[in-house]
Amino acid sequence: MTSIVSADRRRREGRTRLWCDSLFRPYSGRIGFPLGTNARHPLELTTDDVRHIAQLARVALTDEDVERFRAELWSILEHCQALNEVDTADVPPTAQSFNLVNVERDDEPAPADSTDDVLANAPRREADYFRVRAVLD
Amino acid sequence: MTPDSPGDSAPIDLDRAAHEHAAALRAGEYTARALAKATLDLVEAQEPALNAYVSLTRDEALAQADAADARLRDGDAAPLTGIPVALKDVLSTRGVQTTAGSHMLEGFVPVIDCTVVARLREQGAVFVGKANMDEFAMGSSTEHSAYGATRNPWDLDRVPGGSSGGSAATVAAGGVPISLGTDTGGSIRQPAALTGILGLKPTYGRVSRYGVVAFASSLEQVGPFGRDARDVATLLGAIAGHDPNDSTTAMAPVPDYLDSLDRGLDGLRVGVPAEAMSEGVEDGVREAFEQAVDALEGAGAQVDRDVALPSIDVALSAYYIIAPAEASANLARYDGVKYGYSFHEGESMWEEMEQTRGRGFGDEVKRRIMIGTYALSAGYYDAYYLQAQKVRTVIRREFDAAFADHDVIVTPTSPGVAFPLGAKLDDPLAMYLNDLFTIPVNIAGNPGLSVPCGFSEGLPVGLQLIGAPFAEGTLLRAAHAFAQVTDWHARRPPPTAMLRDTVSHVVGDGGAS
Repeated sequence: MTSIVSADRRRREGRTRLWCDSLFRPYSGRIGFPLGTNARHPLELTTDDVRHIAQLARVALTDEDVERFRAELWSILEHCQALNEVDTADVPPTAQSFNLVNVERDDEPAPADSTDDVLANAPRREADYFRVRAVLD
Repeated sequence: MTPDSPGDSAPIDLDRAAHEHAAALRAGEYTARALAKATLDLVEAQEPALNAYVSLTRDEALAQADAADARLRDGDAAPLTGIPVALKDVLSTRGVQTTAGSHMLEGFVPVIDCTVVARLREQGAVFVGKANMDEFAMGSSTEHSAYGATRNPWDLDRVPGGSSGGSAATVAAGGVPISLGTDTGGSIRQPAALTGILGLKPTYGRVSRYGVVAFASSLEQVGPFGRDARDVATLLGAIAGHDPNDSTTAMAPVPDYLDSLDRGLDGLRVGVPAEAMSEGVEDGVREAFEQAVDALEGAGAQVDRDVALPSIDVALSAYYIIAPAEASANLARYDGVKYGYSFHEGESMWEEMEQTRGRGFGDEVKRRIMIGTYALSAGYYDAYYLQAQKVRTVIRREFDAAFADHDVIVTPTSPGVAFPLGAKLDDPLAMYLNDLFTIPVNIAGNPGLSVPCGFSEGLPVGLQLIGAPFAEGTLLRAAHAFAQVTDWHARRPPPTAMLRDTVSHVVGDGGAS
């Protein structure tokens, strides 16, 4: 089996097209955003944008969902454009209130969860594995 | 003690604080088993009206109560030994279904206890059930639950607030004296306000999030509900503190919150931001709030009515980028492979995953996942996500400046009282505006406590006390002092009294069920 590490290295080295390349389709569309302008925010959200976002998030939507979400998401995003009215020149971002970074623990062995515990809620199990649909077409 | 002993048939006044039950249990007035049984009878009788729980755990509760009675007999009781507690259904409980209010986790049975539940278990608390909530804690009304809406005990046609609506409603209705919720943008404080009880969001990092179904990891905290400050202090003390399993917990030692409870308001510097009186606040809420500020002043607090927090109104916008961004990452784990709902009728792996998520998540969860995905996507990251993180810094700095010369900042908890079921379901933005005053506190990371401070249109109004980081003790002290000069915390919803009378009578006659 091809390990993720070696697949990564192979892609970096540009050696070959990999089976998993199709899983990471490059972003090819645009989201209601006039290319070539310097606008920082989009001017609208289209139903195609909603379909594209849903595809990135792996959420199946019906056609009715798409139209309803377009209007709802746009009302929220429009409200959030108020963020641009705040002067943030030279302000660093906050990822977490008290700016913790890289909290480390001692590297000591400890008991791990049992296989049965890990698999206890598996929708599909086969022996000691999660069963999934074939990834390769 | 056996189920047939005299201690089990004496009527129990359930309208008591946890600390009063604890004293009665120690004095042998009644047993933990009798208390658990009476509590479960009442809660089960209230359920058709309230729908405050996803699951009730009678058998486990009675077994825990028997163990508590053994500890009480041995003189080995902790403050919460034998005390009935409700747990929001986002808190993992070993062996008991934990749904997070979602169809996605229907039937999911955790193999661990989250840290806060483990700590209460060690104390010998009795878990009555898993409280209803908005799906994945996303919402302000508990209407976004896959298990039906919870109703407000003050008016069954109105929402209890959310997302911890079940935890709040069951305490307000007198079912249990205390409960646990989680608060990402107001999900403890807003339902506490709308149901007329106390609810505390601790400082970010004060309480472990290990084993809590994750929504927005940089914002959320577990916290207590109760009907008085002493109970809230006791429950916070039980769950707070460093946890090696959650590296975002603070190393700072946990003070004894009961020590400072009686210090009063003398000299306490209270600040009121101008924004607290803004146009969006309902008249009745504003009146109750102003009277509450006057009451604090009358009881010895120094009130400054001109605190500058100019950016708190933009906190809502920052929140609705940051929280969905974190949610879109946290909820990526629901792929139908490891646990939870799984769609098996698709043509391919991708179709099955998309259908699993499309069918397993409710609309509000999908909305937030998509907002978050969008805000993090190429081309929009700087304009939305990075800008929101910078605004977060601006808000933190304003809070730090305000707390340089104030001990407590006060606002209404919610700009309005409990609204009718369905009133805001079609307008997500109107729903979000409920959390106008609570969200900035999560963005900054500070602690916030909602206390009952009056009524408008016959419905409870909450006063939000905001503190400096790790100053929960100051908030509890102010809440306790406020309750000495007002009696809002002692008001009870009328329908509950009728339900309670019926059930007490049955218990006194030798027990139902």
